[in-house]
Amino acid sequence: MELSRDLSPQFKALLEPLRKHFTPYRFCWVLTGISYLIAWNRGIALLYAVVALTLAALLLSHVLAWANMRGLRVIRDRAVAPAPGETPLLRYRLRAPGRRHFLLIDEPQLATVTGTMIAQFDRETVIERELGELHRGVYPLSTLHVSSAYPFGLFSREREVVQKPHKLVVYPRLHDVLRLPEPLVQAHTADAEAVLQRRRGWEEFAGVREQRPGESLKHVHWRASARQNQLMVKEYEALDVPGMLIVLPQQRGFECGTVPHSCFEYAIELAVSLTRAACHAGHPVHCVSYGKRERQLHLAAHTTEMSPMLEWFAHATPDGTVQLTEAVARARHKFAHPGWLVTFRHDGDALDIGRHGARHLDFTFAAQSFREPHAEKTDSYVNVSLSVVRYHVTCHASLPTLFL
Amino acid sequence: MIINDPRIYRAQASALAVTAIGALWTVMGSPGLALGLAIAVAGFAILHRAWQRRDREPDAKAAEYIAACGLAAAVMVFIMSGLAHALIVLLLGTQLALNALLKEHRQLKFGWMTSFVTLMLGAVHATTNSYLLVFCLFTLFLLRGVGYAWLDRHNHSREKVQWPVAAQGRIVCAWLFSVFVLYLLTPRLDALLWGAGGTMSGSGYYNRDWERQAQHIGDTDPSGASLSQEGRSQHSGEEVGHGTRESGTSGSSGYHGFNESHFDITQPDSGNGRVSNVKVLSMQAPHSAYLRVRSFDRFDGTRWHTTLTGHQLWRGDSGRFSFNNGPHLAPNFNQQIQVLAPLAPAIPGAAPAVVLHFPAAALRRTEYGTFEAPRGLQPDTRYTVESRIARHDGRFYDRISPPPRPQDTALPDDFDPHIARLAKDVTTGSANARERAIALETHLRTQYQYSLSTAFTSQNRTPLSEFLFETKHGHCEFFAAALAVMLRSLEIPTRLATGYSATTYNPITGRYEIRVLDGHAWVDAWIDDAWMLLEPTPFYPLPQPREGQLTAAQIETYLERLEEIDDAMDETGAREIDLQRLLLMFWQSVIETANLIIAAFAWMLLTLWPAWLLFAGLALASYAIWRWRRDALLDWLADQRIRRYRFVQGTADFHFVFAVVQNRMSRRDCTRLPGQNLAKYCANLLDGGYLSHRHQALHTATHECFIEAKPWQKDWRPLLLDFYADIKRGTTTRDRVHRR
Repeated sequence: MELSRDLSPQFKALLEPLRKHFTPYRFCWVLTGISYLIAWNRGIALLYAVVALTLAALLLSHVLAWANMRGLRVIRDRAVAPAPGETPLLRYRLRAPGRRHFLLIDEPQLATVTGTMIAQFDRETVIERELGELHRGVYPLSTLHVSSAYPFGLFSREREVVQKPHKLVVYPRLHDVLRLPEPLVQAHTADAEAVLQRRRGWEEFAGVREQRPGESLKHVHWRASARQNQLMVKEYEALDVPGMLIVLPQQRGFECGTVPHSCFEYAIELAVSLTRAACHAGHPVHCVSYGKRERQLHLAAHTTEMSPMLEWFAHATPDGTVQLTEAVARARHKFAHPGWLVTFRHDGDALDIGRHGARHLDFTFAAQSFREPHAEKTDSYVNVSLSVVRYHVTCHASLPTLFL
Repeated sequence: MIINDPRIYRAQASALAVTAIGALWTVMGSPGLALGLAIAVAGFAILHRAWQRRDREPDAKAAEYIAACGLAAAVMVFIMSGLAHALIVLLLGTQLALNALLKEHRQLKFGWMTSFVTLMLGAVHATTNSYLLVFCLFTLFLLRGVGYAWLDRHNHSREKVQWPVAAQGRIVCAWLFSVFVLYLLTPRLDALLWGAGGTMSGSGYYNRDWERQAQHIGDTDPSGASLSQEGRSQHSGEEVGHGTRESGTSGSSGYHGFNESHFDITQPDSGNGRVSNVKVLSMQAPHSAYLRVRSFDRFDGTRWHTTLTGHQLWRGDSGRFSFNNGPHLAPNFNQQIQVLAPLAPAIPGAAPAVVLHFPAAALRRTEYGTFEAPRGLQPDTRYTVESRIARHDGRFYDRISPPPRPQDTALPDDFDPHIARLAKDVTTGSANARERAIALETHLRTQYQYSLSTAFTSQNRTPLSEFLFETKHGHCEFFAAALAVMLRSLEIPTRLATGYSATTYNPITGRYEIRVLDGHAWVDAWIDDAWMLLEPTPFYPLPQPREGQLTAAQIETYLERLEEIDDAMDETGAREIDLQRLLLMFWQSVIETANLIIAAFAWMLLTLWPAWLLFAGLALASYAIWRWRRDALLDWLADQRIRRYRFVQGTADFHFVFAVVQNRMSRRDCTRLPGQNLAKYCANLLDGGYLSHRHQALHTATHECFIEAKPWQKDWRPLLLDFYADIKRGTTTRDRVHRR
């Protein structure tokens, strides 16, 4: 037992090339060749039968795979942008002159996603594929690969099907934030603010606009709606309501760890969750990022339509050069008096933002735990001081429970 | 990647069961069948357990126990049966142990390879056609397992993918048909025999007296084998030395031609026992041969006698007996022979044998160059004979055996002078001894008929005279004796040889089948300083290289030979109808039908070839157009349809134009999806660059026609035509860009 355990890695190293290159298809060809050579050399005629048996299998593999792909048409419907929290979905329509078996549809652009297998269909079918394993991001989809290894899986015939290019956007995950974090010095004002929020004392009527899907009927401006013959809602402008400024770190060095357990992805999920929570709590949100180009997102208080926000975060990539301190300075220059300032940084990075009157939510990521997730399991914690709520986030942090 | 489909385990277990039962039954007979069944049951049980444990750590301890049991079984089989059989058991034990650890897809490959090697080992020992079925079943289960493995690797849903039985049945039928055609068309080259050594197996051929005598004399020959001589004496017409050993020496055939001292040509076998198609030997060799058992040199008119009754005892070197006297006599014809039925001690082999591999410590060699084992040959004995055969003009010569003696030219006392006259008449015009011999052989083969039921009845004439001048039909001993005597009358020394005709080649097993019926007599004549093999009996073909390189041709030859055997047996009323024969008859009818069809095709091809050529050219051109200009052709047809279309001024016009457009675009993967309205479809076409503008007016017109049910407007026709023209322009432009 011990011996076998000791030898195992060596055998693995020896057998790795075999495992990689010795496919059943090649095995059949090797079997055919060896059988023929032995039959020829030693005159063992029974092995000619093996030659015929394997050659027939290979012949059928080629012919039936070709016949299986003949006249096959595959159309990928435009990928439906999923609602927040739902997995994206791809839909394929397949048509063929007759019955088809063992088809594999592969999206080469989605490298992390395994192909879709269709065991059998007759003339026409629609296949829906949930891409639950896809990470946040924007995936351009163009051609797709259709292959068939019918009937034995020995030989796979592939075809590239040109499709109309479009983008598949996978939104970041959202976590519930029951209550926006508050530093100690601000805690006593929270109840008063809630009262204000209920009364809308700090909002000013700004105009009306078309109602968007999901918006509550309580904001409907009925008179305007009657005039316009469609539902219109009242829009308010926040004057004295504290806003939230989120500075998303997009410098290249910030990305560490492996997607989806990387600092950047964690920061995105935290940022998007806070954004939604702030909007629901009646605070306007400003998100700023300095990647290859500067990007901004402004969300009015009480915004319920989350798709633009989610799409904004879905497009974020760590490709910038602006360091955090400078990014914060630039962002504060644009949005002078935010109620909350949200920053994300590695635990070793310094952050000098000078004097400010905002509540500071400072997320520090334990970079080492992201680089070596298996080294040592460390817990996350929250440190609340007078004006700063500092979250120490590790790779093993449970983000849904971070704000509980 | 973990295996998640139990059908893969079942296919693996089935393949293992077929391998174990097929290989062990073939090489070990009934005990092998029992052992194979046990291994098959164990295989199913082990794989069932492996399936249930696949989510846990592999049970290495169980695998080690199984491997140890396999090793112990292999040792036992090695002691009882031999190394080759033990190796098969060891491989099967190894595969059982591997199966106990089966968990991942990559491990399947090792099982396949082990099974394949096991089957190869079985094939080396297989002598029957039924092994073909073993290969067939194994490949079937293997392919089934490979197919399920592919499905399992690519199916990421929790649902088990079904592979309908009907679809599987169709595939199996197509596969079997392909196998059949490919098997018949497989070219078969002459065996290279690189690295082929002498093989032997069997036991019980040890005689302490023989070994002691051979050792005692200690006379070592140049090749290393020891020999002693006993009873070296030459007595003509007298049964000396070991005397006649008539009873029990002819094994299962009862053929007296294999007696040691003499045999009567009028009664070559007792009780017609030779008329049987029971297989007694199986030979694997590059070409057919005559396996000599005895030689006779003196003929008294009815009986042939041996006058050289001396023997030599040879002691082998680990079963290898070498009679080679120099490098110029290196063997050039290797025969691996397996005994299938009990036989006399005489060891059949093509003469002259230079090296013999036989599982005995000592053998006896007669002065005619034939061999004897200490006891009768037992079934499953395997031995190898390496002979030195000279070939010239399609004839086989023995240049090693000693030259003739006076007994080889002696005629019987009551020799009929008519026979000498016939010989002279037949050989008139022949220039030399070789031509005379061949002329006489041809005369006998063409002017006389072979019959197994000949009985000597005449009281006045000698048997040969009656055969040559009255009955003109008889069995092989009459033919051989007649040729030998006629050649002697022309002063050409001859001997009568008896043995087996190994000329029925079974292309399925690759072995020559030697039946009781093949017990035979022929003539060796001293021509051009060598013993030339002559075959005067028309029923027996001369040994010659295999004809036909294709399997189909060899099978046809084999069937024809079986038919001849059937006819010969039918004459004696001994024809046996069995399943194999019925299958062969069926096969022959299939071949004949195929021949008829091919002949009909050939006739049509030869007489109507210009029409076929034209047809083929047209078909090729049509295919080329369809293959490369299909879209252009269909587009042109669509243009023609639109151009000739007569508007009926109704919704049908919209339907028609939209149908033509959608057909055109579906060939470019721009299919209008079900439920997609015209506006969205046009938007898609616009995005794809197939339209230059939105055709808003057409949308309005469509709405008015279909929804508002307005009467036909004059401007709708130009709108539709403009829409089609736009599509046509767009597709042409895009296609041109695409081609670039």
